[in-house]
Amino acid sequence: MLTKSAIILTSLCTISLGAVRSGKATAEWITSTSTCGVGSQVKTGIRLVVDEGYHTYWLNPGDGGMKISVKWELPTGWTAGELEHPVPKRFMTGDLPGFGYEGTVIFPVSLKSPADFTGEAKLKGTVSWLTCDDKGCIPGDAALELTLKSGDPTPTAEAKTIDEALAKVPQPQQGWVHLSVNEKPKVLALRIKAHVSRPLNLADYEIFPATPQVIDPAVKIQFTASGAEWLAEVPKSEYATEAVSELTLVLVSKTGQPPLSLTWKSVGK
Amino acid sequence: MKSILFSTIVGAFALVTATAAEIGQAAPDFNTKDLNEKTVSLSDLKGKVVVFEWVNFGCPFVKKHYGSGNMQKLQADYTAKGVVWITVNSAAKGKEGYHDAAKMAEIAKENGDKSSHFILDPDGKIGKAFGAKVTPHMFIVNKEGTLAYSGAIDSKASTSQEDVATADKLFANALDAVLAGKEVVNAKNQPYGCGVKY
Repeated sequence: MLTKSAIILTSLCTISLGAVRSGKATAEWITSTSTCGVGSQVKTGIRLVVDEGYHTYWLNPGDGGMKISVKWELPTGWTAGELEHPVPKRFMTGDLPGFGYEGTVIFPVSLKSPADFTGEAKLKGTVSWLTCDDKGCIPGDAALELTLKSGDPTPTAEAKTIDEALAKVPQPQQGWVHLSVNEKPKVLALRIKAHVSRPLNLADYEIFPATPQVIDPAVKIQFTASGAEWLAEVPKSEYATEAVSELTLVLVSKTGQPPLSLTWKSVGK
Repeated sequence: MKSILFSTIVGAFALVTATAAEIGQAAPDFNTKDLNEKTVSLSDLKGKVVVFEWVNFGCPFVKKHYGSGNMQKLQADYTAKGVVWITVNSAAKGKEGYHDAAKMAEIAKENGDKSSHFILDPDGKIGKAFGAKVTPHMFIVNKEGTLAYSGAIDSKASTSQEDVATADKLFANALDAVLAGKEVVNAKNQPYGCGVKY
């Protein structure tokens, strides 16, 4: 009898080691490989499964809300890249417009092993997030662990999941397409021009402001074609009290094309 | 057609923001009673610097600043300097953080509230007149009754108490400037928190 409950307990512990429940979500650190060589990149991701009815936030959370953050505790020589944010959706939290995710979201993050990596490394990261519904907000945090062994990379069952998540991260575009911004007292005049060899139909994209506090998050950004260019005028965020110096827009395809990221910086920045 | 639609949207947007108090303009007056049944009216407070703090004890960002003792310390420190500190709960009846006066007084006491006045605004009139969006959302009204600050309590939009010590003290810096008769830098900024439960 005692042995049986001990076995059940052990198996429960094994399950809970990966996924950590906190607040209104479950967090897990997944990896594309459990082994890696010296000085090599490892694709991993923080998977957050948000309870039904709640949402969590993008890097531009809109009004209110909070983006996810992570504090790393990595062994000497290991480095972690930025937590990458897949494309969001729009929602309202009560009266407040916001951007973020419902259901399952994976934030890819790339790790790099040291040049002298041998044996086994235990990596730790404490993730903090916020979930809200119309009634209220509940934070969550989870101390997550990942063990990587030295050796030739062998894909895990999650490798495909991470690649799919990476495909949802907007990639910065340069050269063939340009965003420019002309600031007016209450609005920003936006202009996007793609190279003639690579036409871009912005009617096929939903557009999100990745830079916080520049464009009013309540307003949908809609471009109209004007000759070879696309133009839009959008109301500024009420918090854009100083001259706008930078804007990144994320373009999410409605027709299955990869998401794009376009950045404008004012001259001199 | 599209441009007409667009102007309508911009127009509606302008209308919404025009109703909320603007920096450099007269703060909206009101007349109400606090949890101790004392009358509170902004026009009666001319000549004093008045702070407004929007609160909801169910909100994790509010818990961060009360749990760390930061909010109560600000309340104690600045009321000692002659500031009138008004804490407002604009949660509507039935929404998160709404309580009747007796229960609210109990919860405020449990949280170590050191405000000058704690007022309930369940119809959201005061909150909407100020344009209070989140909890905590901080406002400062100067001695002339002009809105001098609308924004965040500090620079770190997190729910973690340990961030209080290392954040830029946006609100306290603004209040120091107002008390010193100096111009407020960053008088309007985006507050972080949970939406006010109107």
